[in-house]
Amino acid sequence: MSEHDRGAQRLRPLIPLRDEETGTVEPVHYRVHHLTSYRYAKPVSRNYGRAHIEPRATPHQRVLSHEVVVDPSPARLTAHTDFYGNSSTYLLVDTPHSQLDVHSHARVTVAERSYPIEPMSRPWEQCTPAHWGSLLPDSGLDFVHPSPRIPAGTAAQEISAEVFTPGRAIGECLADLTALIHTDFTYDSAATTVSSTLEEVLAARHGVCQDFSHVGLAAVRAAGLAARYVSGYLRTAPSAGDALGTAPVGEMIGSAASHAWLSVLVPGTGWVDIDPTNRTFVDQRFVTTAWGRDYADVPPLKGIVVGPPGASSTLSVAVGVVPEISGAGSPE
Amino acid sequence: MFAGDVSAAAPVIDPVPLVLDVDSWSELSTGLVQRMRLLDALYADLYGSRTVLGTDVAPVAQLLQDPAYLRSAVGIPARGNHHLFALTTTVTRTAEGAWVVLEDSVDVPGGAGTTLELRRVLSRCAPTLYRSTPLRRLHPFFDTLRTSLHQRTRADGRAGRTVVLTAESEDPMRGFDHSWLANLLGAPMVSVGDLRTGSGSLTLRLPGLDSDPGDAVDALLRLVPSQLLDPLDLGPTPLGGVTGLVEAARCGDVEIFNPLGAGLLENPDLRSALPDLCRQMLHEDLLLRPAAPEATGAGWLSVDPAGGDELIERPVRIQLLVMGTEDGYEVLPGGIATTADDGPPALKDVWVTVPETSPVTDPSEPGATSAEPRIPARSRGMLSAYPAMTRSIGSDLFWFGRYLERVDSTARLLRTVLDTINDLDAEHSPAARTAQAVLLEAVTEATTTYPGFLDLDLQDRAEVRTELESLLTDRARPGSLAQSYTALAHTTRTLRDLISDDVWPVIARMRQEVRALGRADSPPLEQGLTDIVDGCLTLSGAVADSMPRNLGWDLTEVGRKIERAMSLLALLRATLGRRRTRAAEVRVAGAVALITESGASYRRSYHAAVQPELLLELLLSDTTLPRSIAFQLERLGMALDRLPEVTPSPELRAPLIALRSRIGSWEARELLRPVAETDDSASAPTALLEEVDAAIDLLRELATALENRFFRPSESTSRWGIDDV
Repeated sequence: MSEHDRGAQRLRPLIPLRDEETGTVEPVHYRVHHLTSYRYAKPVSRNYGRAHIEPRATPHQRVLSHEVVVDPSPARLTAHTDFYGNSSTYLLVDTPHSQLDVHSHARVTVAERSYPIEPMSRPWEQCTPAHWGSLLPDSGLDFVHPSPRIPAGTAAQEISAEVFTPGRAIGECLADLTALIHTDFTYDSAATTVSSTLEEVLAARHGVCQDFSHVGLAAVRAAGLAARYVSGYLRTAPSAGDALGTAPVGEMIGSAASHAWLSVLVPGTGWVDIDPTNRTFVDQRFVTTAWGRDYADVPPLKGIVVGPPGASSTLSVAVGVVPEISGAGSPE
Repeated sequence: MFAGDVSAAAPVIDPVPLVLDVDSWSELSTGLVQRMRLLDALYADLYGSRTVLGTDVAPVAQLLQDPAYLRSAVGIPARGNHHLFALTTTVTRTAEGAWVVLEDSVDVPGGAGTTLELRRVLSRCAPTLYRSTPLRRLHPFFDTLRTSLHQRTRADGRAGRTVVLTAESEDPMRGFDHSWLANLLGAPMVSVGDLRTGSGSLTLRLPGLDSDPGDAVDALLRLVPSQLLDPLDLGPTPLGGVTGLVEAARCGDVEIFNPLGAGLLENPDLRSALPDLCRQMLHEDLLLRPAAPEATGAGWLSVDPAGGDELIERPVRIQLLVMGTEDGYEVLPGGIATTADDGPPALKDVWVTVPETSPVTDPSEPGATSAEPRIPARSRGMLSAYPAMTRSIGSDLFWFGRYLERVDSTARLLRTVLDTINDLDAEHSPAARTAQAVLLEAVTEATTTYPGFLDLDLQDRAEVRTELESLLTDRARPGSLAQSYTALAHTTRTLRDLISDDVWPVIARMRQEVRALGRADSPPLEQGLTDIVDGCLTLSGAVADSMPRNLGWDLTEVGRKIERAMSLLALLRATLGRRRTRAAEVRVAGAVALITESGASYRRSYHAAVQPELLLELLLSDTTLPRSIAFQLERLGMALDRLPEVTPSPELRAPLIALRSRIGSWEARELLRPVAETDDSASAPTALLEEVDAAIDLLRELATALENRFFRPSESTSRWGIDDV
């Protein structure tokens, strides 16, 4: 079977091209609630945390309000805008506690995303930094190079060579890359941990959204293009009386927690987001919180706890991304 | 040189200084100050607005890929009008006479302490030349620096509190350099475990106590690489560092010098781009150009390493230090020149001359700066009150006490045993042979260097000699004299300010003595051991006479009393724990009386020859005898009572109470009665064996409880995080 045939067999996602004929789709208003809870077997004395859980403004997303609430009451809760423009939250709880709850509440508006035909049909070779011109921000360069979790010279080069064939349109390449990862890799939340390396994922062909995103990033960067890691949420199925859903809506993969995908810089239209986990271009079902070179730049929540030796903890995470009934034009 | 250094390889110093005249120095220092201004502007930009990354003069791709570019340190404000505090630049002079830069050290600049030590050595080697040469002195520079540092970090009407953060260094030269810089700046040295971030301040953690906001630190002079400083924001690192330090700096709780991530400025591509960047950012031409690869440097008069009488020319690299002051930057008028040819490397002092016509600005000797440096009137008398000590220093003081006693008791034991064995050799009696064996085996037991003499044929003089030499000189063998000394010297490295200055020459001399032990050209072993005992006496005297009676002294005292009690108990157990023939016992007990310095007291108290029961009674219960068990317990209790306690801790009290009651119930005659009928009347075990074992266990328990309570974190630290799904 030739490479071409294999590529043809894969079910590619539809590229959301802009069509002047159809009218614009109304933006969707979401209420986001992300709750992370730790329960400790013995009280711990101090807890330090760093979070990227506040949705950020993007060309397609407006943040109407956001708030992080920590229980028990934190000694310090600060936020700043980080190197990549994300909101980065620091928390310190310095009184003894047996549980730690970190809530992120936000209201966001997500617009439809579609791309003009011309840039999406230009050859991918014209998307390298030499073709960016002066219209694009310099920070794109930061996403061309290898990064802490995505070293150069991995087996992702082969995926890259298979997808980025000479002269192929960038839109086709991205659709194919999305389909390839979705087809060739098995989603398995037990297969990897935060510390799984890219090489391990490439060898095992198993992983979660974070791993799929890393594979995609490695393939795009191997072609010399800029690609960044995006962290966010998927719209969830509303559950009765509570904004905290239990699963993403419909057929979407990803449990009630944060999600990740990747974004590729296409001159002429900007950053194009693809989600290999769900074999789709990113649309109005996605809420963006943060981006960086890879997972290590924007983990949703990480921390250091100081407590009695050998204390154990249990973690639970719940995310609700629910369309607001009031706001105009909910498609539900 | 380098009193605190316990490693073998001391650097070679070339006594011919490298002399820079007024014009050369002016050119060089102007260039260095410009370089510092440029790097400061670059730091401000790369960790601020990042406009440089949008230009084509900067090596953008290389900077973005440099792991030293710490994204999480972007946006941390500087309190003063510049970001960088110090810069070490290595330069060389080309054959054409131009100064060129080889490299910059910006993340952890060093060299201040070494520069001063070189100057001290040179001024002693060539005092006449040194005094007759009109050269710039070094100390006024540090006085200015100290003042400006305190000015810059001033808070709430008091002088700012700066601490120097260091890490255990593999390289003793580096450790030495750091500790001297701390000393020059008058700032305490702390390690990461001594600091804790909080809701609005960075505080020092004190032994046994939790920190309070009164112990806040205003500035941190870090001599630890940026990446190792905060496991939360600068990881992945092992869980060292100060959790939350990046956020503390971001919120302005503390200022960090050099600022986090300054190592990015060491990027070699950036160095090559500095000429263009200088024009763009400062609108000036860069004065100090990057060195061309393979360029040969000019030679400087030096001692011929091959041993010739004539001075030869050797190329050198010169390390120079620029530091921030209140109104700009100043270059330390001196430096470290290192030879850079194929010959063995040597260090040279760098002398900066002043014009013959102008008066020497500061004619005083180093260390005795008489001229009033430019201290603004408003800062006079505002001494910053530092908290007494940190956990790591407390721990060092405790172990200083323990190792001091260990060196002392090991040296005394070996000295007497060597002496006695030689005497007994002359006797040729079975009793003498038994006594010899008991004493040699006691050496093994008291120093816990098993199997030692227990496995040797004690009649084989060569084997005995080899084992004794190993116990004296084997630095890798725990319990040996050399190892205990090395550990003692190691504990003193952070204690510069806390014990008398007089201890450093003593420590250095003892090192020579320990190294000389057993060498063919050395004095007899007994003499060498006596010299080491003398050293211990001098250290004890310095501690007793010069050390402030504060928590530090109490911790040292506790360490000493625990150690002395342990070694005494082990000695008694090994020598008196089994009954021997009367003739052998008299000889052994005589040696024990010598080791414990109790002979005179014994003779005053008892008229009989030294008997085990009487000697044991004396050593157990005479509270006036500084080497008795009773004395140790009494002083240990007093010192423990003085330690700060937030809450009474039973784990500290319980072992002491148990120890007192156990030892209090001892009765010498009962203890030394054989526990069972035995055929082996020449070696009948007594109750002393088990009793001492139990007592030593209690002492160990006490020592562990003390360490847990005062020095070690009693809590564990672990990471948490969420798997993305």
